[in-house]
Amino acid sequence: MRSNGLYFTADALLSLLLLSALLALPAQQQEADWSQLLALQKENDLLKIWAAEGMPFNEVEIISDAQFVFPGSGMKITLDGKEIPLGAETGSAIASEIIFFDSGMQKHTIQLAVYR
Amino acid sequence: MSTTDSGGSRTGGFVFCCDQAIANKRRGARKGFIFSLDLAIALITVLLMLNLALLHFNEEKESLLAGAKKSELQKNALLLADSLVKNNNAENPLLGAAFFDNEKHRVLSNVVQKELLREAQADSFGGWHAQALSLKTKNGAEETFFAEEKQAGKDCVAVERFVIAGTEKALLRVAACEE
Repeated sequence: MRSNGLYFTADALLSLLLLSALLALPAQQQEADWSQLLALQKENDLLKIWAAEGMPFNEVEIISDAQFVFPGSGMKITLDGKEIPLGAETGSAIASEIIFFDSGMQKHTIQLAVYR
Repeated sequence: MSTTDSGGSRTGGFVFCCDQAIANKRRGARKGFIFSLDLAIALITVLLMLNLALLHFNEEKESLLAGAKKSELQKNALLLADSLVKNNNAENPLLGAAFFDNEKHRVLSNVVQKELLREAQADSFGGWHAQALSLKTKNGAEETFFAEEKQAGKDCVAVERFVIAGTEKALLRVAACEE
């Protein structure tokens, strides 16, 4: 009976340890990541305005706009296939693309990728 | 009746019987005492476990609630900024300050009218309100259209959008705070 009591207490202590270990695990928090959506919206703002400005591409102005909107971020701008890297291209990226036609119905593409 | 003379407690059957009974009783009492103590310790342990679990779940609940509130505020701020740059609302310019092209009969997204922005006022939307609206141009000039005092202990979220204001490119910044 003495040993039974000892086992009973040991079981309870073991359960306590197990429960503590389970409780120590952080709960899964399902929070929406709105920062990605905001980055996407700002990229779309840039692309819309660049497309509205039309041809020919003013690379200096485009680079200046991108750095104004995303200061300190690594980016890659592609104007009709010509890549313009800006800063470090590390980590994951959020990218957007716009296709537009100029007054001569020539198709043009601008891609913008912002690295996080 | 038997007798033994070995120095032990056995001196007679009757006495042996009583001694044995007393010994058994004492042993039982010890067993009972130890068992009760172990049971008490086990019960205390179980109660402690339950208390810890309840405390933990309560904390997790509070944390999740706060996270959900913050997320809701971020969503509302994003939606307000989007409405500001994509709609034209002369009655409430906070909800739409985009330029309306009469020739094309449509709103020009991301092209905002400073005149409309200057008419915008802080507004409450039930649980949160627009706290500030400002415009920062590429050449560094900044114009604040309205800015309310930030309440202590209340969360705020600021959202920026790239726009053309007049002839200048600028970042339109709107801040939303919880009430």
